[in-house]
Amino acid sequence: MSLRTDAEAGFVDIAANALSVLILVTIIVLIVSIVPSPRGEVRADNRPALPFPVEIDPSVQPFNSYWYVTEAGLTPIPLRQIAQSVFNGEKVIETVFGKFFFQNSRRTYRDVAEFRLGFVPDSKRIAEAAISISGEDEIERAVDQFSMEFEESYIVPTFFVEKSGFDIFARIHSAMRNADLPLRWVVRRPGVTLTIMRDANQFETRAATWR
Amino acid sequence: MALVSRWIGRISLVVLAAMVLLMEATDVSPPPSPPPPPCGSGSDRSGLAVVLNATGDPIAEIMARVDCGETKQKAEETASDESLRMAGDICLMRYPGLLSGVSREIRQKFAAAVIAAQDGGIDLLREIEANANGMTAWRAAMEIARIAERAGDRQTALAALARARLISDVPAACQSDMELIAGRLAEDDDVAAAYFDSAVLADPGNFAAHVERALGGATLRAETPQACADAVERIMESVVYLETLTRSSSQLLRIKRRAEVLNENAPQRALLDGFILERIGRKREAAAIYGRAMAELETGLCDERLRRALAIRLDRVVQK
Amino acid sequence: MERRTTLHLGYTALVDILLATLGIFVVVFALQTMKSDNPLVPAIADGLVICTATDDTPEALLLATREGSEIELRVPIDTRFSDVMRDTWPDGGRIWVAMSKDCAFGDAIEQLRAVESDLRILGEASAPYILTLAPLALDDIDDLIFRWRSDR
Repeated sequence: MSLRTDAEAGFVDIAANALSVLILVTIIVLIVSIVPSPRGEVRADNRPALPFPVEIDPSVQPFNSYWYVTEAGLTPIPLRQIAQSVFNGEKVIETVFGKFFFQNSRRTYRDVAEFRLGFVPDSKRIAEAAISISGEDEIERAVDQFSMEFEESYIVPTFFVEKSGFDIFARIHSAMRNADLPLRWVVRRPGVTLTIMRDANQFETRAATWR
Repeated sequence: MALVSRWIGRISLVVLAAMVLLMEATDVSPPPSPPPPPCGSGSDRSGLAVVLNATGDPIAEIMARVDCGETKQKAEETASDESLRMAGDICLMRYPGLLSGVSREIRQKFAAAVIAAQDGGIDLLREIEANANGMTAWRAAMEIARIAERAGDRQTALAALARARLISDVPAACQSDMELIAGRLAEDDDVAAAYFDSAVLADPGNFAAHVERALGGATLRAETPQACADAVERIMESVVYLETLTRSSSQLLRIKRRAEVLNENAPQRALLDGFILERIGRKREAAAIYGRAMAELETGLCDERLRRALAIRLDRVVQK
Repeated sequence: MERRTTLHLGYTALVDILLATLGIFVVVFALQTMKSDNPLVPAIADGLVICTATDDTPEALLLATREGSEIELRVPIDTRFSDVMRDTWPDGGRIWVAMSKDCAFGDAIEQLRAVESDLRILGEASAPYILTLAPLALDDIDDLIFRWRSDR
C-alpha cells in the first residue's frame, strides 16, 4: 500500500458519512411510507367498479357529526352549544340553524340518557351559512376532511338532504363511497321535523345505520 | 457370498422402510367423531363454563354440548326474556327498571352529555358524577369511560372504569358492561379474553360481549393446547348465543365480516366462519371452509385440537 | 506506520457502512415481496335496484345475475316489493339501491326502508340481504349500470 495524503483520508470520511446519511434516509422513508391499509371486506386484486360500502364494527358506535345539504352546499350543524343549553334545562333552543326541541319526559324509561331531539331547520339561514360545494376540488376537500375525522376521531357524518341539495349530495355520496368512508343520510321533506334520538327501540331496528 | 448377503441386507432395509412409510400413510384418517350424545351427560356446569377438564377430549365435550342443544337451550332461556334488548349498548338499555326514580332534570343532563358526546360530553358528565351517587354516579362514570374508549383515550377510560368499580350493589347485567369495556381496553389478548368470559357470565344477554368473545377466540394466537380449547369453546358458545339472540343472519354475517379484517392467519378463524355459516343453514359452504382449513393446518401447537374441532364439525355438516 | 493504521481504519469503516447499506436494501426488498399478497378491497354488489318515480308512481328496475346471464325486471314499488326482491335474489346478497330525487322524496323511500328491515329477518330462507340506499342523479343511471356490469 502506498502512502495516502490527508486529502484522501478526508474523502474516505466523506464517503462514509454520505453512506450513513443514505442509510438514515432509507430508514426514514421506510417508516414514513407505511401506508394505512384501506378498509375492505374481501381479498382481491382490484377494487370493484361499484364498491359496496364497507361496514363499521356493529358493536362500537361511532361518534356523529351532522350536516345539512342544500343547493348552496354543506352546512355543519354542531351540537355542542345545543347540548350545553339542554344541560342547563332548556327545552326549546333557538339557534341560527333553526329550532331544537328536547324531550325526555317519559315517566317510564330504560336508560337515564334517553331523549328525543326534534329539529326544525331554517333552510334559508342554513343555506346562508353553507360551505359551497360546486367544484371537484371542493368536494375533494370535504371528503378529505371527513376522512381525517373518521381516521383520527371515529366520527361518521350524518347528512340531512333537502330536495334542492340532492344532486350535490349525490356527488358527495359518490366521492365518499369511492374513498370507502361510512356515512348516514336521511332526506328532509318540507315541513317534516328531523329527530335525533336515543331509545331502546333503536337497538332493534336501526332505521338509518352507518354504512 | 458376502456380497449377496450385503445386498440382501440393503434390500430388506429398503423394504422395511417402505412398509413403515406405507403404514404411516394409511394411518391418516382421524378417529371417528362420536355421535352427539344426549344432553345431560356430564353436565354439572352451566352452558357458559370456561374451565375445562384436563383429562378427556375437551374438544369433543364442547362440540357435544353444542350439538346436543344444551347451549342452545340455555341461550333460548336468555333470549326468551321479552324485555331484553340484547343489542342495547348498556345494561340499562338491555333490561328495564334497573335505575328508576331519577329526576327529569338529571336525565336531561345525561341526555345533554350524550348529545355532546366527544365534543364536550365528558365535561358535562363529570359535573353529573360530582353531584351523584350510587347507580347514577355509576352511569355517569361508565359514559365517560365509553366515550373515552371510543375516542381512543385509554387513560381517561381506565380511570372512569375504576371509579365505576367502586360503586357497590351494581346489578349483574351492569357488571357485564364493566367487564366488557375492561376487555376492550386490555392490551393483552388473554386478559381481554378472560374479561369477555366474565362479561357473558354476568349477562348472557349481552350481545356485544358475545361478539367480542367469539372474535377474541377466533383471532387469538393460542400458545398452549388449553388456550386452544378455550378459544374453541368461546367461539362455539358465543356463536350459538348470538344466533339465538339476534335471530338475524345478516347480523351473524356481519360478525364474520368483522373477523375478516382482523388477524386472518389465526387458524380458529375458519372455525368461526364455518360455524356461522352452519348456523344460518349454508352447510355446503361451511363444509368447504372446514375442509380447506383442515388441509391448511400445519403441525402447530393448536392444530391438533383444531383439527379435531374441524373434523367433528365437518362430520356433522356432511351427515345432515 | 501511524498513518497507515488511520487509513486502514477509514477503509474499514467505509466497507462496514457499504455492507450495512446493502443489508438495508435487502431488508427493504424482502419486505416488499412479503407485502405482495392481495389487499382488502370492498366487495362487489350482487344486485342493483334503480328506483325512479314518474308522475308520483315509484318504479324499480332490478338487475341481477342468474347462472351467468343478466336478468332485468321492472316492477312497481309496492307492498309486494320484498317478495320480488326475495325471488330475484334467493340467496341474498349485497344490493345497491339507487334512488332518484323523485323517488327519494316520494313515498318509495319509506317502502324501501321497510323492505330493508323486512329482509333482515332470518326466515326459513336464511338468506342474508344487505341493502345500501344511495342517491342517484338521473344523468348517472347509465354510468351506474355500466359499472355494475363491469364487475360481473
